[in-house]
Amino acid sequence: MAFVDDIVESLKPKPPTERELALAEKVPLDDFTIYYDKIYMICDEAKELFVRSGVTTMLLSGDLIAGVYNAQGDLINCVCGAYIHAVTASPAIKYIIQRFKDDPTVGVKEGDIFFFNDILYGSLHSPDEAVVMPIFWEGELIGFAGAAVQQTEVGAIDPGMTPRAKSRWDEGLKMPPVKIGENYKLKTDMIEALANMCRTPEQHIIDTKARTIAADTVRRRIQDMVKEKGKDFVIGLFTRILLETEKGAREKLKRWQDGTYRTQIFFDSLGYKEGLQKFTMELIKEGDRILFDFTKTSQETDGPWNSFPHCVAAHVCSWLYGAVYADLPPSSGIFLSHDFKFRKGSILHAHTLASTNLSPPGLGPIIAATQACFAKMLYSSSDSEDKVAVMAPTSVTSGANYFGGVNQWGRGIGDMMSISLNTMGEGAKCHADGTNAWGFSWCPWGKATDVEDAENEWPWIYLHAEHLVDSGGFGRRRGGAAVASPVMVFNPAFVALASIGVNSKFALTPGLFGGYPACTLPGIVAKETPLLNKLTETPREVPSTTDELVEAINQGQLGRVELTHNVRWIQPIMQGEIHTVWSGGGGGYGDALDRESDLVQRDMDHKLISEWTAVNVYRVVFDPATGEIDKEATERRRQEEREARKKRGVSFTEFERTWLSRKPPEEALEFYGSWPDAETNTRPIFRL
Amino acid sequence: MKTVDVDIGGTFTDCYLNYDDVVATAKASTTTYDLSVGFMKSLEAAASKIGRTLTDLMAEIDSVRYSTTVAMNTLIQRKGPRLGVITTKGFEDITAIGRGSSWQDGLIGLEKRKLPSMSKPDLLVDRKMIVGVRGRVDCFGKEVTPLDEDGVREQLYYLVNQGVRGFVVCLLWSQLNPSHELRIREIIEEEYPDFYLGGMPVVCSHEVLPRRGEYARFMTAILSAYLQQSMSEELSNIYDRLRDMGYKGAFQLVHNTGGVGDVHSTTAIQTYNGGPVAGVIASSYISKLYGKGNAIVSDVGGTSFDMGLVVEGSTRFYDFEPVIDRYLVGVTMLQTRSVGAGGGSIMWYNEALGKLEVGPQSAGAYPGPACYNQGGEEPTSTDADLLLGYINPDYYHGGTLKLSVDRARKSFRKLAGRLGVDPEEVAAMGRKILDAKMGHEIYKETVLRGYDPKDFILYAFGGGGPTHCADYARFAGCNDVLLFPYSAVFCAFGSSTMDTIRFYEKSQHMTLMEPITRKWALDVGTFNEIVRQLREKAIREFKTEGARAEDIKFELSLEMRFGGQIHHFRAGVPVLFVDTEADMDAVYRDFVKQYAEVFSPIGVSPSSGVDIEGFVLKATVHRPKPQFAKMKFQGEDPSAALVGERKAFWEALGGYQSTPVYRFHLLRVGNQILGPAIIESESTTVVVPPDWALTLDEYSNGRMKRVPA
Repeated sequence: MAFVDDIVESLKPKPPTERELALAEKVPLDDFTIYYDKIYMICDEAKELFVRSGVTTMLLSGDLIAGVYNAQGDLINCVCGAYIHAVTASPAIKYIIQRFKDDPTVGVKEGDIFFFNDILYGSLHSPDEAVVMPIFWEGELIGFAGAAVQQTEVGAIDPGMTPRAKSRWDEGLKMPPVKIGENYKLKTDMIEALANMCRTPEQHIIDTKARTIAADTVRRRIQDMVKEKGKDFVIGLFTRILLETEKGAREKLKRWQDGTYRTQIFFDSLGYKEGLQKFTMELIKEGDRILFDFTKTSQETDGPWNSFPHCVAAHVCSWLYGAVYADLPPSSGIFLSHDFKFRKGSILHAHTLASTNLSPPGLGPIIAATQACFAKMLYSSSDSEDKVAVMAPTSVTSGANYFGGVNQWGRGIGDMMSISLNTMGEGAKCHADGTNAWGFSWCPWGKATDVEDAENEWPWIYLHAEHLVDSGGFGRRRGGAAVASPVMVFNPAFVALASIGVNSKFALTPGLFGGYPACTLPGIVAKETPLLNKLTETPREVPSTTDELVEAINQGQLGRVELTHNVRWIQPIMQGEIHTVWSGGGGGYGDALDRESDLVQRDMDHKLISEWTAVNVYRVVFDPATGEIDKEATERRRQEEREARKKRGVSFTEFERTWLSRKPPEEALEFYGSWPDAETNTRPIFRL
Repeated sequence: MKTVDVDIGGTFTDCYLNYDDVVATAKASTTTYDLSVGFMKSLEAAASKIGRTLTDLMAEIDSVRYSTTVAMNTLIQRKGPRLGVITTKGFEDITAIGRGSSWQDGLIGLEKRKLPSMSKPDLLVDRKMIVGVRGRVDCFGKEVTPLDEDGVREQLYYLVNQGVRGFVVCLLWSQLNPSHELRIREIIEEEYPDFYLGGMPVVCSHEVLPRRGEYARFMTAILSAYLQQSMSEELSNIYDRLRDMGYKGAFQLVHNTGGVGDVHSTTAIQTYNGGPVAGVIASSYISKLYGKGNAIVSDVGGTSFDMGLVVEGSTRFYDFEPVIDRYLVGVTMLQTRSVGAGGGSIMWYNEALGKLEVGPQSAGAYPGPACYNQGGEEPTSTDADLLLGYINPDYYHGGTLKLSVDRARKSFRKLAGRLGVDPEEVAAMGRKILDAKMGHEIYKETVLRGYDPKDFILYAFGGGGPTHCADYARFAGCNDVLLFPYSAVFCAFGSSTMDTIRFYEKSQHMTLMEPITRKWALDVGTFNEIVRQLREKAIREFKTEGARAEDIKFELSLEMRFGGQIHHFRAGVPVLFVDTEADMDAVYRDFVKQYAEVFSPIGVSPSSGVDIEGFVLKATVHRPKPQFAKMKFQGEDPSAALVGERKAFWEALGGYQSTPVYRFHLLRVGNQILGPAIIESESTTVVVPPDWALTLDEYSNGRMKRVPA
């Protein structure tokens, strides 16, 4: 039974019972603080054990959660990692309660261990696997403990995530909630059955056990708390956390400006080929409620970027929990004042047979749109406390690069590069430039590997690892720079590499209030290169910066160059060949003409922008004698540009007429939906 | 022996003077503008307690040891020398990239949750002063591209023109093959001899930290070079003042490795966190007096709460990538944990969440708690302790600092009004929350290392430790507490118990066990040669401090991992050299045992094979330590130490109750005090709640245990 149709509604907690309300009332103020903090500490302990016990890159980077849920499956608190996993575990727990609690063939009993990774029940895509355990006390179910993290390899048609999945049948392991352990013991047959469906079974077994260790740690500690404070206290504490979260969110909402805030983001890939899609978020704020309306979003596709409403809500929450409500617990209480509206058949509410293999990276636009809409609302609000979140979106270019093969030590490998994921540029803030190489929008607290650690384990050398010039969106405040880290396969004969970075044709990470979007990023593979010889014989001809790499390509010095979209299927890259790897930059904030000359100079000195950008975007003038920026001449030139803008300006009607006349070619709009609003589907999809 | 040990903390500078087994302790305010002022004041106060002038005392002292947390923090804020960094071309941004989210380094828990407020630490070297040179080594240590020496000279010329005062050379894989780094140093010396540079340092990353992982290695090298001059000036200032007073002995510094070293053989980074580390070492020493027991080390200071663990008398827990200030480095440091909780922690109401919070903000040393009457207005933990009757306003620091109860009460009025209760009730709630925070932190850190707090004795020290320990012990699940007469200067005492310890490291990939076949595959010759080189280096360095080779104790640890893992695990191994398959098996078994203990047995994966990634040789030379004689039992009756009574708040008794007050120095061995009671000393106050009892044991330490109801 597909649970997905009602799944987003299931994120909302049900109203507390009279008993729960009475117990919440009884929690004293000091104990509320003490045991609220204790729950956080429990999750923190579980998270640390989780990281220590696992083996794959995403787990070791900390892209995970350990969380506590109440007896109804509502999230009470968690430690991250990635909030998206915490949100999507909640519907799966509710499914377990609804479907199995009273089913004598399954049941929910003390010591049970459940596993799931099917998006139709509460995951984000098939690699996102979770373990949950019920918490009982004296026979009463008082909550659940959960632990989730992405598994790099789950047996899809390609290793890792795949851009060529066309339906859910191409995605490998897909488990609805299933019991994999009883009496606090994992069942060997179940563990081996799951591992049997993956290319790296041993890794799968270790990481499934790591999830179980984390969930069981939460379970034991909550039971310790019950032992110390009593069952009623803990139930009251859970209820009060949900109530305080709801109250805290509503108080904030009341302070913010009512209105409709809108952001549109365009997406340039169907996975297996290029194509244009539109994501529209309308944030409608009224009093102490928000409605996120996504109905004007393009239709579903026959590629892998499709998704479902609960995944969208989870991505919205990654910004709510990490920024605007960061002083509240990351609990389900937030959903009581936030609603979501979708159009069935859109890419955000696809058919249950659709491939969702790239659902999380495909929802990058949702994170960006959430940031942009909140920034607009908070800018318009008088609440200075929250103005810190008035910022352009942080990069949502996924930057994921998968690989498989044999390394220089003769060991089989299959994993994902960490440097490009964890070094995305932060969006520019109203008060400061975005942080360069900030982190990973889906999991901000993750960390990139060292170059030496990566080169020690994987069979390539990095040509460079540097801030990518001109990658952060320009503006009064500059978006954080991306990182370029191209690799040259070095030791073995070849390695198979794939990339799923969108943003090659259409800028994905927008700017704010006149700020530029972050730059687009092409896919480049240089084959049959002469680099191995040049390393020793003419090292000055080996590109050590992105500029030198581009120059070498232009000069025809890098063999056969394939310039493609940055979504690239897995292909063998031979010894001496280059595979480019990028993270994305953050969006810019405000008018580039308002940027202080000193900061433009500093950006040039730090190799964050090119001279071309300084002259043509920031419109600075250099003193020919000193080579430094001439401030007075710059101000004159900027004033001229401001006047010229006015002359170039047209009415909105004229702008709209021109814009509509520039309709993209039909082949790019195959899965766009109705042009230009994208409000209806135009292309039927047949999945076998 | 006549020794002086000084520890500079965030609020106070503590002195522990051992004058032929007569002990005197003293405290002075930490003077962040010039640490030597507080240093000398604490020394002077200790000298006066044994009837000596500072000048008289210093001429007699054999040894001065010094630990600090503050020195480096203070110095990082200052402007260091203008450094030039020479790195591998294409990798000039490595320190700025900082493995991505370096904005979270040095922050804990909820501090790093509000993403838009985060920012990366300032770079210690401007990007313009970081240059790249061609030359590349691979993961086998093999030269892939020769060093471009002309390019090196071009970049040197550029840096010198920019006015650099020193160089840091940070090349990829230099720890495996340092030839390029060494050649660059030679070129610098050829082009710009010492007299031209004015003696500024040329620091090579492979010498500071010969370990894989370029970010931590580069940061360690940069921080070392950046701090070398300013730390040296700071220490010279103190040393000069000591010598001016006639001191002729060595000046030793507490290293965060858990040992001490002469000032001339100490790097700046080794001094970081010396105070808390000294506390752990002191606890280890004392735990051996009590039969190699387990100890939870807890230190409540003015601004922070520090903790560590001693297991079976041993300090076995280390951090390998600690954060100094906001900078991640790669040095091996004895593990301590610190949270923002102490006497100065401010109590406030979290409107967003309806929570009463304590800290992490602190009133610090100045203005300090409101009751200090120095301008502080926010209610703090110390104000709460005063209001609840635990602290004597006329006997704080032996009466040298008079406290104002009125100002303490006034500081709570706003918060009390907001919550609709009286100030005393808020103070009680705030104190409980603070104690829970510390207790839960202890619990988490203990269980994370695989132990149960109830199997430990909790050692409580620092100015606030004895005042709060019974309550935070309860939250930690610990029912046995040990208190010390020199509790408030415990970290200073700690350095008097330390040996000289150094670590020698080298990264090297080797396969111990093949995957699938599980056959031994160790290159024994290379393995033993690396250990031999590390051992010879240790012997050379220890000889410069007068130690003999036969006095040095060596212990080997290996950085190991199962095949396919990115991260390695450091495991102590039972052999120094490997000759037989039995030796290899012993190495493997110890690795698996320790890995399973720390992570989980289910993570053990021998079919993936086992690799060695690095060698760490620990070298120890033992030093003489203070001796504690057991004292004779003098009866249970503590009435001779009773000095009065006052009302104090006891939640279990329903509010304020008249409570007996004792003086610690008047207690005698065997005296037993049942709670509720308060025991005052010049530097701290022991709070004995109703369900606890304190006995002065044979070492004159207070043993406090929970009494079953």
